Formats: sequence, structure tokens, C-alpha cells
Amino acid sequence: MLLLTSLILASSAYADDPVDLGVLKQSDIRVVQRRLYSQEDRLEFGAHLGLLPFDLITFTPQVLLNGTWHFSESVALEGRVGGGYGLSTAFFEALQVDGTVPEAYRYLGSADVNFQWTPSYGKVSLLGKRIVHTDLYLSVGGGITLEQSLIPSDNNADGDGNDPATYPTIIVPSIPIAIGSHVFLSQSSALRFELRDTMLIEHRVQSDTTWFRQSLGVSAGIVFYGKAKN
Amino acid sequence: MLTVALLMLGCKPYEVFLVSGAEQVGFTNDADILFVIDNSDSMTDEAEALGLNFNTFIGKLTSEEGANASRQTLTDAVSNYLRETTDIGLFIDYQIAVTTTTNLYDQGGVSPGIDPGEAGSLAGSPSIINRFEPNVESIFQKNLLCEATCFQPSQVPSDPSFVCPADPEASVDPGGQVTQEFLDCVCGAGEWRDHCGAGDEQPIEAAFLSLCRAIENPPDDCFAYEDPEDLSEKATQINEGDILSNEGFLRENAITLVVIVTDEGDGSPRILDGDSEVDAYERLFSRMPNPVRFAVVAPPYHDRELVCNSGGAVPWAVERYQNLITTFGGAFIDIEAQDANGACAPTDFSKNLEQIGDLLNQLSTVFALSVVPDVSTIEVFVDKQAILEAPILSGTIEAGDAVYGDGWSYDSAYNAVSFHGTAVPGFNADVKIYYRPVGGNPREIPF
Repeated sequence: MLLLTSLILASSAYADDPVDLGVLKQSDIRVVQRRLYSQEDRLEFGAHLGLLPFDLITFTPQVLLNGTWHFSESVALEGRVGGGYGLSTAFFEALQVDGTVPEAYRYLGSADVNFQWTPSYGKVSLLGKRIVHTDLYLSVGGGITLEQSLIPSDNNADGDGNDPATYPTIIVPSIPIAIGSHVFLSQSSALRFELRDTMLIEHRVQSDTTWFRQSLGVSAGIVFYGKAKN
Repeated sequence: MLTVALLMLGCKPYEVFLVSGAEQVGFTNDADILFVIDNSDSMTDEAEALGLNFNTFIGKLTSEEGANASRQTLTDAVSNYLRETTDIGLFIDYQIAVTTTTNLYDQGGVSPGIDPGEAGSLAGSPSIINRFEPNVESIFQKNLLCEATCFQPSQVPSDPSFVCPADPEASVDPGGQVTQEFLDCVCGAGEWRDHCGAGDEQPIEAAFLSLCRAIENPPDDCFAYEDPEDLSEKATQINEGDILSNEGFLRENAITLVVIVTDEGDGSPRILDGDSEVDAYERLFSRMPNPVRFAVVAPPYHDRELVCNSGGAVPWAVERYQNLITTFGGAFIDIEAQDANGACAPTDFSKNLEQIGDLLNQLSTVFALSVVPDVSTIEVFVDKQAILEAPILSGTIEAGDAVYGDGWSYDSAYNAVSFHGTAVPGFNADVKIYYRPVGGNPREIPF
């Protein structure tokens, strides 16, 4: 009897204190409900292969290394170094045959520091079979780029009859801006794709002129994440 | 927004340098020399003078060793290297041919058809004289005087005492003047008569046709051209059957030097009468396999005025020659000069030929630039070694007596870079000269 009474009372108590779960509407979903891959307080480091293909005079393969500290899921500071060699294009060779040579500089290396802002994190369904987690970031920074003239110079010659032609190198300030994306593979690794426009202020030594120039590049690489601080 | 603005700014402007050398094979000691002789009747004296003084020219180009200087041993190589670099002209491997200014072959000559020397064909046999011929001067004299000179028999003196050598191969000494007997001896009895050409001299066209006849695949322009007078297409004086009729004259990687000798202006048909510009021929000669330079011995034309003009030239037609020199490089030499009393007389052909010989020598030490440079931007490389501007050891540029040390100098008269001393490039060296044109960017490089 006592047991029966207890059950009735208990049941009555549920009914008296209802929990209304409500209905989750589509319009209420504004964020990924469960952020599977966190970058906050983690060090990202990686290696990338890049190209600077959008230039009439040079075509440049690049290797890039990055180290990025993510202060939060959306804010990071990145240091990046790169090296490469600007190969002269067929157009450049044709110009030479035609008797003209633009005073162009080939890319040799670069180092820059970038502020990175990641406003977007999302999940993408691949062919309905797999969910891929990605983000989209923007970055802007400052740095230096090492370049070499395509026109030889006699600047270092001393007239002793053994003066190989030298090609002047210059270090120029640069402002890179980029848009890119991580495609997370695991908690500790991701693929990273980036489109970067580097604005350069070149002082070209042979014509003694200063020019603003842009260099647009693409890169793809793999990055790894250290363990979070906490 | 910022990105878009920055992208729009980034048009990648380039300062453009010109480079000489990439379009040339480099220095060569092979020179193909074409004499284009005015064979109108007013030119007899000048043609005689040319023939009689030709030894001066050959002397400028001939050494005992010739172009085959020994390089068998290290000692030979070293001593000849020094000679080649200090006296490079002596090692020029030349060949010489003669044609005339007559293209309108039906207006003169021996026959109504194309006689040797007309319409770009070469005069004489052998028509191509190379430096290894035993009697270069004699063969040249024969080709010039027997088939490319207009002699009026009544005006050629007679010397009954002249003795013609029995050996037909022997060199014949004219004894200081051209006589009927000398011509009979060299050319065969009476063979020197009736070689007077058309009165409409067209030396530039003749030179072009002559080169057309020497190459295996002549451009279409060799056979037809647009007549600027009525814009219709006209055939030239040669056809498919004339291909390689001057075979062997143009050698691979040689320099072509065209020497025009005339007392008239140029009446070549691809340029409008009254027009002194030679753009049409600049395009045509650039299609030839080898670089072409010109030396023109013509009526003196100074400060836009004809000083001596016994041939009756008109200014624009003589100005064409000067434009030709400016365009292609070379030398303009006065065929007549005024003496102290203001009377005009033919210039000394031994000196004229010496000047042409010097020009040929310079072709081996001078590199012509296509555009006037900003001299401060010139940088010179030979076989990828930097060559510095030569110091002036004595004299001055202004006085024209500057003596240079090793290196290069800019010669504004020729718009060329000259090499000096040990900096003179070896034959077939890879020479590259970079410079900015004085007028700024020669072209825009698109984004």
C-alpha cells in the first residue's frame, strides 16, 4: 500500500514540475553545435608547397614553413618563412630575343609575421558520405622579401678580367594579405590552402626607381597541432 | 574594398632595358662585302678610281697569316691572340662581289635581258672573290671594269705601248690609268663596251635583290612588292628561277657589308618619290639571315644641302643613304669635295677605300646599338664576364684623339659600343649589352 502510494505521489510530482524541451527550429542554429577540432591555445606548425604563377616574367615554385599560435579559436599570430626560385618565363625569353629586357626581380625568399582572424568554422558534407570540418581565415601582416634582378650587373667588377656577371639582390618590405582554409584531418593535423597577395615596395637598383608591385600566390600544405595548454 | 583597390594599383609596371647581342650571333670574322656600283655614264671616273685604288682596301684586310693564323701551339695561340685583339681587322675572312645600281635591265646593258650585274645579279667570273684567291685585286678590277662600269669608248684614252701579259692568269698593271688597251687585255677585245646601265639608279633595291638571290628561301618580298605610287602589286626583277643565282655569297654567321658607290640619289621603287625614309627596306633587310651594314660613297649632303652635285642628285634621294646609315650602321663618305676655291672634284678613292676598310675593321670591335642609350645605364658582358668602361689614357673624346685602356667606350657617332685592348671579344663570343634608351621605356609590359 505504502509502495503504491509512493509511486502515485512520485508520478504526481513529475506532472507537477514539467521540463519543456521545446522545438529547435532551423533558424535558431547559428553555430556548429559541437566544434570537434579546437585550435585555441595550440601551436600550429606546418610545411607548404606554393606557386607564384600569376606573373608574365617569372614562374616561382616555393617552399613555406609556418608557426602559428592560436590565442583563441578566432585569433592567431603567425610567423612564416619561405624560399624559392623565380624561373624566367617563355615570354621573358621571347622579349630578350626581341631585344628588350624588363627590369624584373625573381623571388628568392621571404619572412613575415601575420595576424590571423578566423571568423568561420563549418562542416561540409562530402558526397553525403563524410563530414569534413573546415575553417576560413583572413590574415594580414608585414615582412621582408629577398629578390634578385634578372638583369646582370657589373657592380662588383674590378676590371681584372675575371668578373663574372652578378645579379643584384634586394630586400624589400612586404605586406601580405591572405585568405585561406584549414581542412581538419584529425585533432593534430590539417590540410591548409591559401591564396596570398604580397604587396612589395621594390627599389630597383639598375634603373634607380621605386615601384609598388603585387605578387599573387597559392599554396597547399599540411599542418600539425601541439597539445593545448589546458 | 582595400584589396580591390590594392589589386587595381598592382599593374606591375616594369622599367625596360634594351639588350643588344641577343639578336646577333656575336662577333664574327666573316664579312661578305657587296659593292653596288652606279654604272651610269657619269660614273666612269669614279669606277676607274675605285678599281685602281682597290689595293688600299685589300691592304686593310690582309695579313700574311690571313684568317688562318696558326693556333697549333700554345705560343702561336698566345701571339695570335694578341695580334687578333690589337689588329683584329687583319684576320677578317672576307669575300667580295660586285653588282650595279641597274634594276631596270631593259633600259641599258649589253642585252635586253638581265646581264651580269643587273637586277642584283653578280658581275664577273668568278663573281664571288674570297681572300684566298691569288689575285684578289685583279679579279675585282676585272669584275668592276669589264661588267659594272659604263665606258664611253671615245672618252677612254689609248696607249698603244701597253703590253698585255701572255699569261691570262697574270696580274695586269694598268700603269696608273685605265686605257682601251688595258681594258682589252683584262676583259677581252671590246668586251668592256656597252655596259652602261639605267639612268634610274636603285642601289638599295639592287642590294636587296642581290641578297635575295643568295638565299635558299627568299621572302615573298623578293619577288613582288606593293608600288607606293599606285598601291598595286608589281613583280620585282627576279623570279623563282633566280633563287640561289648568287649562291655562296652569304655565309652562315657572317656580317654583310653593302658598299654603294654612286654620284646619284636612290630611286628604289618601294619608297615614294620624295620620301627619304627607308623603313620599307629596314623591314626587308632585317629578314636576311645576317646583319647588314652599309657604307655609301655618294654626293656630299651636309646640313640638308647638296654641296657638290655633278650627278644631278636630288636631296631627298641622297638623304635616303644617310637614313640607311642611321638605321643599319655604317659610314657615309663624300664622293666629291670642294677645294679651297670652292670647285668640286672627286675625293681620293684610296682614302675612301681606307675608310671603308676601317669600317669593316670596326665591325669587329664595334657593337651597334639600335636606340640611343642613356650612357650611364650601359652594362656590357662578354661570355658572361662583366666588362668595365675603358679609361681614357690620353687625348679627349671631344678632340677625337682619345686613346683608351682595356674596356668599352660609347661612340655617339656610330651609336655603338666600342671595345678596346684585351676587352675586344674573341670571334663568336657571346656579347650582351644592356642599356636604357635615353627616351625612356621602349615598350610597355602588359599585366
